[in-house]
Amino acid sequence: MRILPTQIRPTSGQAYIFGLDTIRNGQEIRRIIGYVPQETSVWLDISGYENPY
Amino acid sequence: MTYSSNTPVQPILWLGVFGTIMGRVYAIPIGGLPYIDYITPGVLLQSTIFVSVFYGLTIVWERETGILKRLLVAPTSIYATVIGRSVASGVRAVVQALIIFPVAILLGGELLPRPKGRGFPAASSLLRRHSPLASGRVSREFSVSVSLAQTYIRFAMRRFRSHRTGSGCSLPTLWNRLANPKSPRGRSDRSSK
Repeated sequence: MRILPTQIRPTSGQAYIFGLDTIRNGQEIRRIIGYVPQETSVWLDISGYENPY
Repeated sequence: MTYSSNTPVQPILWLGVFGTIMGRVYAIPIGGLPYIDYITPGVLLQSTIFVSVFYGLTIVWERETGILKRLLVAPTSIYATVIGRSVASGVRAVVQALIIFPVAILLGGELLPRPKGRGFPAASSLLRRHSPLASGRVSREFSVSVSLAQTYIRFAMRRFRSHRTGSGCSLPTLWNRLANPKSPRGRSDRSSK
């Protein structure tokens, strides 16, 4: 799961999202995907309304 | 972000309270220097280093809480996260120094317009020439601060890149576990692997 949002590099093989390589086109991939990680992660020093932005 | 070493209150206390008292009691032989001239470069160094250490620790802390994950999947460059934080800590350190300088001058510190040695010729120092810390200047303090921040950021990034999560134990994790041993926070990295 963490290979697809370009967080870690695959040790072998390739992964593609919409035909974009997760190694070379990480910037474009991050532009079109949304990623919901397992744990809740919020900034504690801003309000709850500001957090989704 | 509220942290005592990240505000100029602590260095002002060092200069105003500690410096004044120690200047009165003459406890340390410093070669006839005014104590404020003796302590101010150290306070400057301490403040800038604390700022960079704090910002480096923030990255480790953000990694633990998962905020770094959110930043790294955002549609921005990964380098923006690192460089932006470095620039922010640099600005903060400079602002702190700019606050400490007038405070030290108000307390009687002497500003040398052109200190000896290498570095920026325009960089000023609160030191006299025969001080044991005479080479400690703003430029060197900032370079130390920057390199320290880089070390911390590299440490954080290396921990992030590596697959061996949980191989080490960073200081915030340690604090968390010491503070509330039953809290699941800090173990989230391993479970999400």
